[in-house]
Amino acid sequence: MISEIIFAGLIIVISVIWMIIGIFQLGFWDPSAAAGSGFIPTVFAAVTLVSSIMVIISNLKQKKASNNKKGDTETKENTEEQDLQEGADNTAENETSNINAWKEKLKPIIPVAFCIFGIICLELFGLVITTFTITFGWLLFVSRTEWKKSLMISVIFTLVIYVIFELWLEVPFPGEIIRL
Amino acid sequence: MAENFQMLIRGLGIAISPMNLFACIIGGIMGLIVGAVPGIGAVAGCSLLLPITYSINPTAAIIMLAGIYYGNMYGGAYSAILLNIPGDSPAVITALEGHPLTKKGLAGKALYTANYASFIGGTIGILFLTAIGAPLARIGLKFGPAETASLIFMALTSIGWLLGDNPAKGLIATGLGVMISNIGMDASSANFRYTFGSTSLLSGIDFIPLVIGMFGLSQVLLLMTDNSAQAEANKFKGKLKLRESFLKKKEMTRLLPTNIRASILGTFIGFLPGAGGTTGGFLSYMLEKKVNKNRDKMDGKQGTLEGICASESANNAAAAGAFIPLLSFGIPGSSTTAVLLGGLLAWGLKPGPLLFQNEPDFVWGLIGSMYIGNIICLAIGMAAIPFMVKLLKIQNNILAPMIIVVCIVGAYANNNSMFDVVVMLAAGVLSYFMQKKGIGVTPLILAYVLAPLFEMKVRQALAISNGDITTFVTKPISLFFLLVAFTLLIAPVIVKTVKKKTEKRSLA
Repeated sequence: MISEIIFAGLIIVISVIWMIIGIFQLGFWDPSAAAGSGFIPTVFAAVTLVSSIMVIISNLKQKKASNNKKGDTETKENTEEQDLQEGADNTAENETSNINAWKEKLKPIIPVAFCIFGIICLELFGLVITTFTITFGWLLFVSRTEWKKSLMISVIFTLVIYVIFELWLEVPFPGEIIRL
Repeated sequence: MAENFQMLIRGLGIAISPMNLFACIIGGIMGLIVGAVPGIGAVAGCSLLLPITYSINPTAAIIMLAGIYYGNMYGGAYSAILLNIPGDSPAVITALEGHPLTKKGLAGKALYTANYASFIGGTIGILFLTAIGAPLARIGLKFGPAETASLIFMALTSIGWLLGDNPAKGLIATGLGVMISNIGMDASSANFRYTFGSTSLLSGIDFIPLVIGMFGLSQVLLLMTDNSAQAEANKFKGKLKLRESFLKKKEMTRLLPTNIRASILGTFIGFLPGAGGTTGGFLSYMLEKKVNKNRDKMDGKQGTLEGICASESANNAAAAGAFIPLLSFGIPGSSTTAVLLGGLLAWGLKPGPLLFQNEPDFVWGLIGSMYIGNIICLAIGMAAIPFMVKLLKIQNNILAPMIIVVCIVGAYANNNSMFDVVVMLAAGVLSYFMQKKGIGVTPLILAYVLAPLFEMKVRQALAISNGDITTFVTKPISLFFLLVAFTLLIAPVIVKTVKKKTEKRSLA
């Protein structure tokens, strides 16, 4: 819920920047050519701004409602001493599950890291090494595939990509250090 | 009209000459492959393959280019359905309705539907071109900036149908799409907008890296967190059977009305200058969401054959329809036909009303070849599906690095620019967060595609009328589209209110 509010907040900031540039820099209405360069951007930024505010308001309302519910439940729980004892026992388990939940949340960083590595590798070593390294590295370390199978799949896939993009379509890939 | 069909028979004779037939087959195959490879797209595909045609005679050359063009339309559906990466903008709706079917283990059926719909759509489009090409082109010329702006406005308002449960979130996605499209040079005034001093942003954010990141990379990111989805997808992969993938007679009959409606609408949109296959496919989808028996299932989450059929029929019909203004008046209906126009001019052929009189062998040979090319694309596409279905059996943990490589390479190949790869990565991360927060990506992409044309036409219309905003309501065609748009906007609210009142009354 909080992340949604932050996301909507960011959109509000972008929309406001869009509107300011649209009105004051690009021009909303140009007397000689009617609508100015900033006309459509400003109109749509305004729509986005209003929508983001609506999302924040509905989230705050939901948060308030869930806080009220939570408050009621906590009051009931406090009256029972046994529940408090159980709560203490569960703390260690909760911590472990929290770590696991965070691990799961951080998993999307892996493909992003591979992409960043791919961008640098493509710039330095060109298409073949990049394709092979990403495929082989992922299969071996992320998918935990047997190394022989990983090697075979990576070689075949690299060959297919090379034939389509380098040989057939003749895309001029970079490769400042080595270029196969 | 009878004379046209006589000429068509003559054209078919020219088209089946060994050289032209060979050009048609090669063009169709290359188009299919280039269309299926994410990151290339019809415009880039035709441009990349243009030099190949220089070594052959003009008729065979333009037949090959046309083959590449409509082959592309067929091929775009493959990566959209299988990988959720639309090969080109017209395939966005195909991805929306087709990929959920892949997740359910119905990829084969979705691919056969796309092929079947593409064939019917393409054929109906070519039939219109043969029979009433010239009169249709004259109607197309009546579409000035105000009329086209109102048509696009109708399409933009209909994005509301894709917004889902939370309209505010849908509007955010639509607004973001428009804002991204604003970056770069303003086509009307040549001013640079929202570049923030970056030279890389001067030419704007390109469609290909944006769509590859939003649909392709985000899918890998989502798979990393959603273990249950991964397990489910792998479970269906084991069950994929080719025999069950064929379309049954009952299904073909069920899809036929959608096919015909979408094809007619697609052809109509195709011959409007600038509107193109994306607008055609989207408006057809919107029409089906209103009139189809299965409209409740067309939500982009469950996946329907009707949705694929509407999109593919319309974009293939629009591809054929775009030849109408190109050949009759020398006006390209889309970016790809602009490349074809360049090819025609390079061979010394001047498109226009006189082209039909001065170069009948060329024009009718081309039209004849389009019928043959359509059959060839259908046959090749059908033959390729079993292979595609087998490819789908690859487990997701093996497919994931391949998708990452295709995303990087495809984004780079678009403009040979590393900046595009960075854009792809940023788009993938943005799309991941949007989907996690329940904000749909499709409205963003559609708004991004439609907004530049909408803006250009609005500003042209206002400039022509000296800033008089009533220009949109004083022109009958424009007024018609605006009325339809407002009806579409207001109708659901009225229906909802009436339903609520009826329920209250029945409870009382």
